[in-house]
Amino acid sequence: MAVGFGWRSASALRPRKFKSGASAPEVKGAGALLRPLYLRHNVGVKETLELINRMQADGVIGKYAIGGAVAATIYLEPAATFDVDVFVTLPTTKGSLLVSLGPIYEYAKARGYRIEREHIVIGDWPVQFLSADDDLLHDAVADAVEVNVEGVRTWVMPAEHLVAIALRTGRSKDHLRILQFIEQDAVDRDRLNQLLDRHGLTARWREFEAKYPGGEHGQEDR
Amino acid sequence: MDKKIVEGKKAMRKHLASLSPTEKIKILEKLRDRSLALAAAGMRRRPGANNNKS
Repeated sequence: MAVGFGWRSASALRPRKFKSGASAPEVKGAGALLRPLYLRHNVGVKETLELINRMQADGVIGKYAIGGAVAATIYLEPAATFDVDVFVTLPTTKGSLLVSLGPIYEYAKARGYRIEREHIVIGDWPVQFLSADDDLLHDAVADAVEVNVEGVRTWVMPAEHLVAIALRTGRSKDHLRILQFIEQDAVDRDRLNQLLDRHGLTARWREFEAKYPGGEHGQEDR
Repeated sequence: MDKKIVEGKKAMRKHLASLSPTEKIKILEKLRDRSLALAAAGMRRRPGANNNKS
């Protein structure tokens, strides 16, 4: 059975004016993710990245790096994901060592972006901002790699940091991602080993290698 | 035969991995839209709900 939802068909299903002149109604309370395609405005990731860069220019966030599945896609083949994880360093306020994600939400709300649980919906993408509040995440943001997406400069975590974070997180899907990085030779093994050593993850890596000798994980039948 | 299929899939994955970030993100958006369309249409079957293939 063919399911014809591609870019072209999705854009063809954008909100239209009815004969009466009324537009398709906004679905109140429905999550952006589950809103029918014909009611969604297919904006794309460009607006998402531009807003993040504006936040940085306006001092709401410090340095940032995209992590998670979107970052992995930069190094591997694309894999479906529903949100963008953005790890940020946050400026501290004068006289306080506390950092808060609050200003990010306030900034987005003031510009009319919708907040859905922990996500800010920017264009079509729910974006989750996360504080790079431990050494590994901090390193990943500090060493972020600049890439250009649709003419917009942005920063993604280095491949080795993505692997180290996935190893530390340790879910099945994280292990699969690590295996993809290895099989596609997308990590510098020396750099990875140094990183794992620096963050106390070497023993966990050995366990991982023992569990998946040779990096075979049956992905070839996808 | 199996080996040929596996090699073909590996080559496809390698090709996809070699695309530019912009091209990959566009594919990502397409994948997401398809997944959401399927989910919204209730086309996903519950695991084990029906093992018969038509």
